[in-house]
Amino acid sequence: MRLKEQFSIRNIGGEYMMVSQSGSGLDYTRVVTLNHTAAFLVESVIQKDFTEEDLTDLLVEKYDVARDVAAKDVQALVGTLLKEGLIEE
Amino acid sequence: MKNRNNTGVNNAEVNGLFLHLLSAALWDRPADGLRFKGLEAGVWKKIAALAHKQSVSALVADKALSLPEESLPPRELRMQQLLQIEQTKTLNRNMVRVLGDLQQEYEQAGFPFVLMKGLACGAQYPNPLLRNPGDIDVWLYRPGDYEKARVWAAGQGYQADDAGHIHYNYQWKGIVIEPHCRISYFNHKKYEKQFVAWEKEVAEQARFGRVPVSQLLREPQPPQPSQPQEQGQPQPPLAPAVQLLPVTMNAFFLFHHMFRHFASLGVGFRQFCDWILFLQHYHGEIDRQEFTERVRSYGLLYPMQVFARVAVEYLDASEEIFPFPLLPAGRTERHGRHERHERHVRRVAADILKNGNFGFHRPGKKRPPGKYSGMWFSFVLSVKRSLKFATLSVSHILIVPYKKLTNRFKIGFR
Repeated sequence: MRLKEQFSIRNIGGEYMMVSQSGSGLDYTRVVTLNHTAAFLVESVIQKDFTEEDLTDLLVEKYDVARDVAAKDVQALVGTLLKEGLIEE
Repeated sequence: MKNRNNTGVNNAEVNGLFLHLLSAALWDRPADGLRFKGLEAGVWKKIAALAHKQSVSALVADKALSLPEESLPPRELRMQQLLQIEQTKTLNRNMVRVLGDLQQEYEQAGFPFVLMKGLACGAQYPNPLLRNPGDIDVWLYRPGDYEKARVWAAGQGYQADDAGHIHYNYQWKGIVIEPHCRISYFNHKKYEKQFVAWEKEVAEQARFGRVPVSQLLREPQPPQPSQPQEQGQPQPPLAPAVQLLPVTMNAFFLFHHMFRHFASLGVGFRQFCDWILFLQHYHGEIDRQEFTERVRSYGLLYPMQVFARVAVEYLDASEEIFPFPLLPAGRTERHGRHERHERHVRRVAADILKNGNFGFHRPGKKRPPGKYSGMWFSFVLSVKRSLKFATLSVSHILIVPYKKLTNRFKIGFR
């Protein structure tokens, strides 16, 4: 899977907000808030193909968490991004 | 207290907070978080509404979203502001893409042009993509090109509408293109004659400035931690550079254009910011003495000095950026000239804050829908306005209602 081309992500007072853009206009429904960890993952795979496994590896490496816990978090994040149309499979 | 609203913060305080964010955006410095700590949602809404009225929404929103956590706007407004910023950036990218296309088309058709006003001014902003976009204004400076370009546009299926006696406009790729046969004009015959000669000289010499189109898309580099990290933006096909007016002419023209709108119906901070950012960027290239004499010869020195003082006192502009002598600061003699200019400075600032972009947000009675009642309403308004500001510049302001009336007679009240 891959993140869609046009979006921006911004840290506002410790909360990350991700906005997707479509064509020359904006889809106002697509503002996704991310925590620090989710923002780290998203920023790590910009313009790259990735799998849930890749994201889990990144989490385990960066935060030294148990793999099954990391995998669950990744699953939840990917689910949200898919639902909001921010990644394509 | 007068003007106190249900937020417990009076309008002067809202204006002060708005101006603080705007000046922080203009001079690329952090806003003072303490001033915004614990601010009520209602006050934030007023600040956002004022930013919209002044057509500087994205600039102000960007600074608001860069405040420390405890000083941020309410979450719902943060989302709206973020979207506003992204929308402004997207619109600007689109405009710059269309500008690149237009340049190629006009070049092939044989109409070299000079980019004027808005989009060209963006290049002087700390982040050009945050300037609220308008249309694409171009000056077709070679004799005959203005009409030829109109025929060309019609041949492409774009019907141009007259938008005044020095420009027409048409929609092209979703953007309003506004070709001009003149840079500007004056209502006063003497000044008009002088300006026609200067314009002719500029057109004949054709020694224009140039700005790389990529500079119109530039974002601050490297990104600050609190700035958006934009990724994967498709790069439009860019033309290498566009022509701009020579610096002295542009510094003069940006003011005159703003002042003409001010005299007619009003002006917002967007146009004001365009002028002061241009001066901030280019003041070192302007011959101070020559510029001062030139401005004086058009009877514009005093109004320019008043606007400069507004920039210094309300937007924290540095006095050094103005290539002409400034009026003295602070309160001085009670019955002397100093007091008069202080009154003008306060009135001009209050008028900009009250009436907003092009005077569109003027409070009170709106223009009636009927054709003749609408014309009469507009005429009465301009008479009142010219009387209010006549002492700022008798020759430029008192003439406005007269010119409006004679122009109506000339075109037969169409």
